[in-house]
Amino acid sequence: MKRSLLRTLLLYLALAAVVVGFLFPPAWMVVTSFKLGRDIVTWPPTFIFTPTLENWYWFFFSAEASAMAPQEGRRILREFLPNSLIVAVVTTALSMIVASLAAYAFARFNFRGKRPLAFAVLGTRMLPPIATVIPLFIFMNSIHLRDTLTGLILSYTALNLPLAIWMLWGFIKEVPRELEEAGLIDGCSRTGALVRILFPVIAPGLAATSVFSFLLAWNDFPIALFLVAHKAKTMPLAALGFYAEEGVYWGPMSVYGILYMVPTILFAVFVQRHLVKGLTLGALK
Amino acid sequence: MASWKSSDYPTTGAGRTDSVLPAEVHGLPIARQHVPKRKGQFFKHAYPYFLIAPTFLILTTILAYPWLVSLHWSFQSFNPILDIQPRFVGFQNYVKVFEDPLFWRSTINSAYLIVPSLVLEFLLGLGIAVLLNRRLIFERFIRTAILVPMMMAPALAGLMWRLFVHPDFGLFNYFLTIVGLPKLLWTASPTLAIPTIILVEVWQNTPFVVLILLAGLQAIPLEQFEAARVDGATAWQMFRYITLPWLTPLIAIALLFRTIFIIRTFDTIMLLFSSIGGVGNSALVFGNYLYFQTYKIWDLGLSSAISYVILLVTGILTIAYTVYLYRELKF
Repeated sequence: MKRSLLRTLLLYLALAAVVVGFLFPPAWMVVTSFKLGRDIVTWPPTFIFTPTLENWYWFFFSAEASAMAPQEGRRILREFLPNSLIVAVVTTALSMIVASLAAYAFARFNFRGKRPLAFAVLGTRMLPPIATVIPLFIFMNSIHLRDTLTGLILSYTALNLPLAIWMLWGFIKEVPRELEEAGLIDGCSRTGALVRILFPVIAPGLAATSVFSFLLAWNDFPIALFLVAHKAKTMPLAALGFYAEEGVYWGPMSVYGILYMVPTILFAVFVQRHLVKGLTLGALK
Repeated sequence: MASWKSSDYPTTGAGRTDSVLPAEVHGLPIARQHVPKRKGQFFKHAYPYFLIAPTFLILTTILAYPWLVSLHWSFQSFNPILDIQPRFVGFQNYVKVFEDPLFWRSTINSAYLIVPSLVLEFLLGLGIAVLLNRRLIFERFIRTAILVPMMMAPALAGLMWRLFVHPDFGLFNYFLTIVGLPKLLWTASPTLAIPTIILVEVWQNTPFVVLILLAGLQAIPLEQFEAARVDGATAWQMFRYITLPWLTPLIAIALLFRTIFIIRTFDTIMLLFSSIGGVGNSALVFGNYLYFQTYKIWDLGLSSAISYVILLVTGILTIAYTVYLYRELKF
């Protein structure tokens, strides 16, 4: 008994170390956002200091670029943040509609060429994202969609479809076919059965997949960096604005980091139960 | 989460319903037998193709077509922004890439980044997954905490770690001095540049490996362990002959995606370092090399060639997993 108690204690100590290790960097950023500039750059780092809202105030109320940072805080809130939200939400909606149809086809029908087609979908996910920026740049430039939100939305939707289809496929597979058949017998159309019967059942799966679609668009930096010049700037690009010749504006940057991180944390809480299934590509049988 | 309870009809986690439900009756999928007859044979067969049509339309126009166009341009020299007329240069762009010492520098750096990161992520991931594979108090909190780094923008990870490993006032150096070690230069030192990126990569991506391996661990039927125990198997034998074989496809998937995504490493480095390639290009990996050359030379023919070289490298690195998965995955 003594021995198992010791083992439990060691287990939780190890887990505590893991959790602290993973959460410390974001937590330190939150602490930094409440520090004055001089408290941030001191050695040794201060843990006890007079908290200030100056960085936050600058973000929400700065009239123009101040001494605190070369860019304007409110521009991030008024342009970059809405741009990012629009891009992420539209990408999510578009890829969910397209992906759920394809996932349904793959999960419920046997048709000629299914295996190679399915693998082609997965194959596009294997294209290295950083190398894809050049083809996308040339393409978007040729159809005059460079530096537009539409261009970003189309790019993200395409990059997003493989994962979305594979996740939804996994979720649909788990629903017994009899459920839809009952609907079909009762006179539902096939599409009606899909929307009225299947979708409500896999709602958690749809939600988890949406979260991943949203985050792909929300988190992307390289594609935005290449495709966007100045009109369609999104949140991640704002990060570069805190770097200046004279150094990094840590205080305002921390506030920016927190604002940028909020949806991520909310979603992490929300999806933690549902996402594993989708990520394993049906390798679990 | 009931998936570690042995049960013939698992409801979560394992996705095993397919094996217990008849997928087909009389050789036809059940679902298809109910398509209304009046719509005719053609429509019946075409229906799944209609469903996947939008996907293939988007994937071909926005991914496949641009990649093909890019292949064409990789044999030309051209700049769409300055309206310089494209001219055919044959394999010159590729020759330029392979003759560029910076490219080889980025290749060596990438290898130095990829191999230790994958090894560390795999070992830590497996360890943490084994720790988590049991009933725990605060289970939801622990799992959510692990998700945070993985779901965070890599750019943001770069930002917060830059503050963390700052040579003058970073917390990391503070911890080092507490245990009596000297302060390190981290991103400002050519020798520590790649290890710093490895640190951030491992921090951000180990959770992904944990999640996938944990799903695999939870799908192993408990009867197998009980049977082995009855037969007097040791803990190591059980791990070697039950756990490992069950985990193999999951390990392949985790490593496949980690390989693809670590080759792209770019955001983190852009924000972690003051210059594109770090001090003396010590942090220049494939992604940064592409960015650096694109914005320095502005020849999209050359950039296309670099993209194809990166694609080729990714292909070579992932071919083994891909072949394995194509054989193993059941559709």
